[in-house]
Amino acid sequence: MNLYDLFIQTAARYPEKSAVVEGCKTVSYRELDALVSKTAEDLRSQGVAQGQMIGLCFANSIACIALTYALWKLDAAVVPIDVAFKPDEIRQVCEQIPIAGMIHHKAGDSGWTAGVSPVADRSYYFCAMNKSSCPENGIHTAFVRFTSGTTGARKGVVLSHERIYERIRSVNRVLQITPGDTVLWILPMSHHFVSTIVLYLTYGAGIVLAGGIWSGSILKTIRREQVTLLYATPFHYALLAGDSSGQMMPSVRLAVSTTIGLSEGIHERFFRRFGLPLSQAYGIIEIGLVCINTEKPMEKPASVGRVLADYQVHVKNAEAYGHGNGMACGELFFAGPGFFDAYIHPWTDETKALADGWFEAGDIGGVDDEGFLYLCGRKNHVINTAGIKVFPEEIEEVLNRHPSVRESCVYGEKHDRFGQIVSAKVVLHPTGCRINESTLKAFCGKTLADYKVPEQIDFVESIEKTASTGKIRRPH
Amino acid sequence: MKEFDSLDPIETALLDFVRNEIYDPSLGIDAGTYLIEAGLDSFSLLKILVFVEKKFNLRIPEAEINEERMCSVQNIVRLIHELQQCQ
Repeated sequence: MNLYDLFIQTAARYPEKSAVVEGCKTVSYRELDALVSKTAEDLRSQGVAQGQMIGLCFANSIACIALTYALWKLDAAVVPIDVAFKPDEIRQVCEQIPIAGMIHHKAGDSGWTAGVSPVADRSYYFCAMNKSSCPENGIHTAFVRFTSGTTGARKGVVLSHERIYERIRSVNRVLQITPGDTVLWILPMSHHFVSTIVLYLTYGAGIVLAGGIWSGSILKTIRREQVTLLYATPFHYALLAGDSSGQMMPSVRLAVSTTIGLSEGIHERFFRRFGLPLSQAYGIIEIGLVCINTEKPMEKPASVGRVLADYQVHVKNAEAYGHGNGMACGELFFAGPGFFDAYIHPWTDETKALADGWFEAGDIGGVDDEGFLYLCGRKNHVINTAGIKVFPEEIEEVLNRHPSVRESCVYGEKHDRFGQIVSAKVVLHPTGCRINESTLKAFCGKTLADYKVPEQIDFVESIEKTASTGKIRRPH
Repeated sequence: MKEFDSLDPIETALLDFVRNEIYDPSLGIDAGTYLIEAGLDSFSLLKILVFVEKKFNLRIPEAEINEERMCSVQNIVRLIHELQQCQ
C-alpha cells in the first residue's frame, strides 16, 4: 500500500471538497491531487526515483503537503527537516541519513535547481546529493524523522506506509475525523505530520493553515472557516484564553492539547472563556499518538486519557519515582500497532529496539484505577521546550567548542508556559578571554536552531559531577 | 512621536536582544519595525517573553500578548512600563 493511494481514493470521493486553505488560497481535493501529480512529474524530471530518501525543508504550506505526497507518489521517502535548522545541523542530518536529494524553500550555494513548476505559487529548490538509495531492508519507507542526541544514540526513525496507516486508523477510532471536519493547523509540519496531516487528508477533512500566532486572527479564521477541530500546544490555548474580543468558537467540537503538559490553570481559563474543555494527547514519533483524553477532559484534565483501544501501557518500577497526581509513578512502556519500523543510524530494526514488543517511552507516569494515564516527568535529560525536544549534549558540544569555555552543563529549567526552557551553566578557562552571555548565545546561534540556543547562561566556578562516574549532574 | 527616548534602558536592552538574537542583525530592526512582517513566529515570541521575564522580572499576562501590544519593540516597551507601574 501507499499513503498516496489513500489520498487519491479520498480525492476521487470528495473532489470538490476543500483540502487545504492557506491565507486567501484554497485548494480542493481535486486541485491538490493535480498539484501532487504535477509536482511528482517535476521531481521525477530532476532525478527523484523510487526508493530514494529525500530531505524536505519547507515551512507549513500547501506546497509542503503537495511535495510530501508527490514524493510518496514516486515511492520515495520523505525526511522532514526543520526550517529553523542551521547549515551545520542539516549537514549532520545528511551525514547520518543517506539522503539522495534535498528540497528546500530557499536556494543553496551551488548545485540547486529551481522547481520547474511552481508549487501552489511557491517555488522550491532541489539539489541532488549523489548518495546511495535506501538500504534494502524490505521496509516500504514513507518517512524518516531525524532525531539528534548523544554520540551513539539511535538516529532516524523509519516509518513505513503500512505502519503509518495502522497508527492513523487507531487514532481515528477516537477522533472520528470525517469530511465534515475542518482542522486548524498551527504546529510545524516538520515535527507533526504522519498522525495528523496524513490522517486528516485520508479521511477527507479540510486543513486550514493558521496565518499567525495571535488570538484575534486565529479566532477570525476559526469563524470564517467553521473550524471543528483544534490541535495546538498549551501556549496557543493560553493566548486564546486571554483574548478579550468576545468572539466565540461554536463550530469547534474538539480541542486537543499536545506536545507539553497542560496546566489546570490554562484548562480552566480556556473552558471559562469558550465553554470547551481541552483534551490532552500524548504521542511520540516512534509509537504515534497513543492517548487522547476525549472521555473525561473535564473530570480529569491533568490526564492524557486512557491508551487507545489498540494499545497497552505498562508502568515499570512503580514507586521508584515517587508519587505524582496521587499515584505511584514509574517508567512507561507501550505496546500496540503502528510502531516505527527501525532506527536508521545505526540500523536497528524494531524487534531489536523493542523489549518483547514493548517500547520504553523515556517518560515517567502513572495510571489511575480507571486506566487514565498521567505524565510526571522524563527519565532522561531530554529538554522539551514548547513541545520541541532538545538534547542537552548537542548544545554542550557547541558551547564547549568556544575557545573561552572549559566546560558546560545544559539543562531544562521548568517553565509554566513552555514546559521547560533551555538553560546552561558555563565554566570559562581561567586564562581565556572574558566573554559575556550575549556573545556565547550568538556563537551557539551560528550552529544551532534558535530554539536550541540557551535562554539563560550562568557563568559558574565549577560544574557538579557524580562521584561514581564523573558525569555531569544536571539540575532538575 | 516616540514616547520613550532611545536612552530608555528597557528599550535599549530589548532592542539589542530583538535585533541580535531574534532577527538577523543585518536586518537593522529598529524600535518601530513591525515585528510580524519581519518574521515573528511562536518561538521568537517565546524568546521575547522569557527575555522580559528574566531581564525585568516581569511576566506579561496572556491578555496582553496580542498583535496590538506586541507588534513592535516600541509597543512592548510601552507595555512593560505599564505593567511595572501596576506592580
